[in-house]
Amino acid sequence: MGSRRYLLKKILQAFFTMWFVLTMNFFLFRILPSDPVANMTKAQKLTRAESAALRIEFGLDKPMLQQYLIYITHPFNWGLSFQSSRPVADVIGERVWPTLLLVGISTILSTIFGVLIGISSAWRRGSRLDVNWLVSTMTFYSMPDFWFGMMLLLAFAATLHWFPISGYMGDPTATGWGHIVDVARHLVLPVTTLTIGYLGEYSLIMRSSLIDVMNEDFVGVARAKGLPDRLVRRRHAVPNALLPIVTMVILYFGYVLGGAVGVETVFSYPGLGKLTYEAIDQQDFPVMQAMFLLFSAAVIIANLIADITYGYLDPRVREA
Amino acid sequence: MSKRSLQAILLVSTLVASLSASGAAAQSPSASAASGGPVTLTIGSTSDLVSPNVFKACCALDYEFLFLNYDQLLNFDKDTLAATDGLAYYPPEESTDGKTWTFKIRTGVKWSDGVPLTAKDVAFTFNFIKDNHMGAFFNYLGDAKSFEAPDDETFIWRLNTPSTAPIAPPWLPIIPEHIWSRFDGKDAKTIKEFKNIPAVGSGAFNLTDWKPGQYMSLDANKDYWGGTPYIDRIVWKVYDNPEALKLALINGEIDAAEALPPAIFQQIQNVSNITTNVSNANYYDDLAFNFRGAPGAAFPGSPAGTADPSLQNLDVRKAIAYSIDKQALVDRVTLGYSSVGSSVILPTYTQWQWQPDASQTIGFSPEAAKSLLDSAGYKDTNGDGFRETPNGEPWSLQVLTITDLTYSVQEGKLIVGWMNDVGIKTSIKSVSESKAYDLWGAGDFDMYVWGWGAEPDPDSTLQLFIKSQCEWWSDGCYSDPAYEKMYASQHTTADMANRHDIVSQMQQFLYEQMPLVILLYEKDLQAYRNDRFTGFTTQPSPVGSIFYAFGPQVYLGIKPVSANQETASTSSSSGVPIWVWIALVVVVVILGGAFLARRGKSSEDTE
Repeated sequence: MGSRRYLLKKILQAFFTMWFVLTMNFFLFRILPSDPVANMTKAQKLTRAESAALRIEFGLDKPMLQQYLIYITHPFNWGLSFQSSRPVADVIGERVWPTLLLVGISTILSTIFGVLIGISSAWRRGSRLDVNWLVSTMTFYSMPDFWFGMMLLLAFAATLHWFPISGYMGDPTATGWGHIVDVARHLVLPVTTLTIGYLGEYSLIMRSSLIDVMNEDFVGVARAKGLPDRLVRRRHAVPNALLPIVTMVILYFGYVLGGAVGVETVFSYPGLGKLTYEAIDQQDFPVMQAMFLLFSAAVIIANLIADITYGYLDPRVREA
Repeated sequence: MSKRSLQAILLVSTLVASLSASGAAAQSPSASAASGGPVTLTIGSTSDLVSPNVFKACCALDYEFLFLNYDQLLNFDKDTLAATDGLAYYPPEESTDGKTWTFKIRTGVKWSDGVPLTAKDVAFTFNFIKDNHMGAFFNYLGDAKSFEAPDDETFIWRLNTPSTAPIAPPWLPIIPEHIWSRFDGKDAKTIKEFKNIPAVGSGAFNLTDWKPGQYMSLDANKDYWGGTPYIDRIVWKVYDNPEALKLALINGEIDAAEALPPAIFQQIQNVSNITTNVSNANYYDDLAFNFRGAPGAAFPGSPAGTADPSLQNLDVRKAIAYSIDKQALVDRVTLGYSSVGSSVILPTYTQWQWQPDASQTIGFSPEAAKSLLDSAGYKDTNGDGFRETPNGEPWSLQVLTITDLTYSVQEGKLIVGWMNDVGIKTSIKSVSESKAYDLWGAGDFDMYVWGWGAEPDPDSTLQLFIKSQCEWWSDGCYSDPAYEKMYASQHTTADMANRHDIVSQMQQFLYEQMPLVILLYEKDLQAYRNDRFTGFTTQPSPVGSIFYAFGPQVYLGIKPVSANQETASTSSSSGVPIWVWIALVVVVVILGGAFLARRGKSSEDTE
């Protein structure tokens, strides 16, 4: 019963948060002191009649409250991009998969390597290995990702010619395995940039969490029973130390749809991060609204999954 | 080591080995020509197509696509930009009153889907633009009465008032009736929603694929009436930063690059297999004045704004112009990759541009600026180094600059410094382009550093200064009755020589009356791999652009350097060398084996 009430409570909280975000999403863009039709049409030769018609078509002639009610009752009716007149769903859809590949793979790899480094570092706390890990991961974490990406580009693409300079794929006619390899080659450098840049965060948290767990009584008991060090770590310490990491990883997967605008720009990678930046710059309201809605929904759902997972992994949280 | 562990190591090693083999074999599109595949010219750009819809065209790359994919009624001569044969033969037959122009349309032309192109498609295009009021091309129609096609080879353009619009030539694409007729009469939103891929056209190349943010691909029309292209495909690839664009050109990932920034352009000057081209661009930078002041003090008939009333005084504007060192802007801001500005018509359009002679030129002269301000009554009465108004009140101006533009902020900073040097207390305000549009719309600025692109026919540039463009395309709602008369005259004359004279007078008028100061004419900086392709020319010749010209003529002359094609293809990104993959496999095997061996030796947990 406790579990069911916990689950229901979390789901209701998520719904309320989603409504709040939708409302903020709507009013935030309309607070901006600019005329979206003027911005949308600035580089086009429109007649005044066309401009007025556009204002009506995009609902900008209606009262604010009416616009809001239309928006809240049709949250997935994203309409057309102001900039290109293409369906916003198409504009976003064609960049979702490249973004999931780039940020998703980077998140997985930085989690795996960050956790392994954190475990190694914590278990040999104070040693030269620990210091080396700390210094190197923090160095890469503090580097601007666009600068680091540019260095990799110069070294491995421009100088050694091992990887392409930019883009998502090189040969649009490639199919099957050829297409997979083509996309994979284009992913190596941007994924490496994000992975190395962000594994420091995971390694630090894992290290810190494991050090806390290592001081717990049950770990002392396990050692006292004569278990090998490796088994104490693998079966007793690490599973308990993983709880914060699990929550963090799930939350970070919620951020995947936000893209990585710096890396996307360096590698000319067609991701959602750059799309969001361009939409803000061009005041393409439909795209901006859709992106913020997607991003918010992803984070809220990830938060919900994290809450539920944490409750499953740690029963004390459910029964609190 | 267990059997399962050994299988795992072998599986990983096999995967790595097969990736290495595939990676080494991966080729770029350009390289495929070496093995007998299509000859592809890959051009890198920091721009992307906004939309393949003809009526969404706004920017340079959109127009490049339009006039590769579609034909025009008349073309621009490759060297002079004068009207020449297009789909119609030049010259057309003109009636004695200049109101009826009859064109003969060439026969045997087909659309890319195989449907024959006739005069009816031409008439449909013009009627579509007129009846649906398509703003992008509407101004090319003149005071049109009707467009008719009495048969498949004859197109008749009738005007209410005489005009040279039919032989300007009109810079608009001829579209297929069988594709676009279903949108005739629909609202603008519906017309502009049409995806238009593949884009059925009759041009030298045909858009077959577009991945937004990545590339657009056009295939050659092998039956093109203007000549069969040597290249089979053009791919425009999008790069989000110019450094990557430069590296891609050097690396061989692309064959040409355009819109390179000056600093990047300088870095590739001495690369032996790269040829660079500096051409007149279709864009000028200007310092535009706002004439929208307080109610009652505003320029006659213009809506209210916040412009300083002193800007309505021609002597003040001239003094500002005298204080600007345009050559310094060229040298310091654009690193020499531009030319000093004068007239509102670009030097690219040699058949239209008027140039002031030595006696007419308003050059850099701080002394002349100070003298003009003194005689206008703007003197420094309190000795603080800055001038006051003739009434003795504090006087200051503000220059608005736009952060999104390449040179605006740098130009603005220098201009503000020079104005302060002649005693005009001036400050700078830098905003994003979006914010600038808001301020422009509200008339809330004194002057700004912005710019305009210009089309081949001068009408679109000259109309910026007429009264009806106020709160529309006019910078600061300048207007003058004498200018209005001249504009109407050039717009309604059918005599090209007469029109040339009027347009020259208008340019001189604007230069002397100064609604704006033309600072400089930007240059297009382009480059290509001379070991891959040859036959690059410019339009117009000799100082025009290779890319972003006015039709397909330049592309028709580009051909592969066939002897070097195979060598060139191997210089592009060739993948990770095989020895790296072998080393990786060896490392995986060694580490995996060591790890698994270590696990096998440990004792079991016997809790």
